[in-house]
Amino acid sequence: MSLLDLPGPEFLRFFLPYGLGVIALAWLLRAALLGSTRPEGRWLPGSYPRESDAVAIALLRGGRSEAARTLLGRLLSAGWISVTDRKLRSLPEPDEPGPSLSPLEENARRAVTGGAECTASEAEQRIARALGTDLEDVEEELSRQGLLLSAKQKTRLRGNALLAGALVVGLGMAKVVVALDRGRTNVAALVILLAVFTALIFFLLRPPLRTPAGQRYLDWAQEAHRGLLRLLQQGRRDNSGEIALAAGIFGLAAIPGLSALDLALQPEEPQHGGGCGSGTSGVGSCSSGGSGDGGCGGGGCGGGGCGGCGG
Amino acid sequence: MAELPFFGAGVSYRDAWRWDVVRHRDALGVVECIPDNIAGEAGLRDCVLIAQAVPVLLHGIGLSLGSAGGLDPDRVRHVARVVEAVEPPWFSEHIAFTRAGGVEIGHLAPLPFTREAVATVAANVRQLRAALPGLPILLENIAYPFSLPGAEMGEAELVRAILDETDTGLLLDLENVHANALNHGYDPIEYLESLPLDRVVEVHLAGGLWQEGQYLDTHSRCVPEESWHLLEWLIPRSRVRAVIIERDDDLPAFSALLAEVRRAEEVLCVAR
Repeated sequence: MSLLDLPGPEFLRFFLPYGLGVIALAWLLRAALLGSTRPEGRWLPGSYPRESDAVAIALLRGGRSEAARTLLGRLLSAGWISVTDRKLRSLPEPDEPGPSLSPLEENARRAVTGGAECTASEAEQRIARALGTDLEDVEEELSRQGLLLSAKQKTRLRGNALLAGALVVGLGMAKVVVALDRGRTNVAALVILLAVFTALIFFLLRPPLRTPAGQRYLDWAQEAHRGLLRLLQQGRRDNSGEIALAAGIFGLAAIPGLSALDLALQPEEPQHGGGCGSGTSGVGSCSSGGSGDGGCGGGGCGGGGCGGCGG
Repeated sequence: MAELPFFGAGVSYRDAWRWDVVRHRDALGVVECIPDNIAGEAGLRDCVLIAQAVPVLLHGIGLSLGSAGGLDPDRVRHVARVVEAVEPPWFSEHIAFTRAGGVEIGHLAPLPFTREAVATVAANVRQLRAALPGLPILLENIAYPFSLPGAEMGEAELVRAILDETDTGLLLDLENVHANALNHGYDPIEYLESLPLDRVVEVHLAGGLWQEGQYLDTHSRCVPEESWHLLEWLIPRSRVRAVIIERDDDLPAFSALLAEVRRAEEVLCVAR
């Protein structure tokens, strides 16, 4: 008698521990695949990042979109662009030389200050496009250091999740099909169990954005820079390099001076119909959003300022 | 003391400078924190975070090594806890008392220049050493606006006797030397020559001001030229591992402080 021929209750008694067991094994395998690479000294907790590392940390925290946003934050705080009504305008070059930009920041400046005004989202996309190769290099460096997953690791982790899915969901689906084929319609319990297992596989086994080493460094950086964030929120420091670093670590939403930019980057709410009102374009939430699979949502918070990112 | 590492020049740590210290960490060889100002787990964690940016020295101000009643065990435990967390290369305190008869007097008071004072400090250093096993201890000369009666020796002799008795290194506060020389009318170089310069590990520099005919070591001004000259004289004659620019009041922009750190670093480099 094959597994699929087992009566429903017996199959469920087998399938529950089987599914949990497979998922647990796959989760252990995932932990092993994530590995325990030890980054170089400069990316270990306790090693303070340079201001020029803001983009790398933003990549670590939330992927390319966060890196582009951090670059926009740097340009805004350094006075190269302004934000009004969700539009970005480039400002004329100041008479007195402002803070010098890194090559990456300079490329971002060129990408967004070339033409007429654009929306903040367009600017973000332009930066992501123009700096694709540069950001790839930074990503490669971070994955070489064991902070971000390498392509190989991602493939293996996806394979692990797919295998677990095939073993658990595949078997469950086959049983549902067999049952239905035999005219049994009392498959609700199995379907619910399948939904739970699918959710578990998705949430527990999907590849994370960061490795455990990357998570440790980000956690440390957020703890170590909480004091800086507080000073920025109190308006007691205004150095654009520090602002960009804090934006990279905590997200734009956490920095009061960049909140207009963060709002401008939020997707516009659909205008409410009815009458001739102009509709609201402001957005209440200030999550700077993470990207990538399983990445950290930038610093979700309500109202002015936030204590940090749930990295 | 011979194996102690070299750090170069740095500043006394103030909370207001926290992010300047991190930001300019490449320009600072070291910062000096006062364990008495570190409160609770959060303060300790903060100090460790600073030590991750720049090497941290710990400098006590409240142990009252000159108190005849011995050290306050709570204060000693606190220092030991901070030392354990920060792992400094040495710990320093003043040749002074800040507590008498169980009453905190709130400032560093000079000891009588007597054998009994030497013995008291020696006993207290032994107690401290038991709490900080293996950690080198430095003692600092203080500025004294007056001398207590009944002196059996001069101040330099007292310092020398205490260092000999306790086998500790010397944290030489040149601004205190400058202030004492002005207030007591002696030649600071002669004073320095009478100290065991081979025991000098660390130097403090600061700036004071004149008040009612006395020069006060207030740590509220930039380092006076006289103290710089003393540093230039001292460095080739000793093996100084760290120079700390102290500032407690009228805190300047950090860039001004960094200029003094650079100058101290230049003096150190010339000798090295």
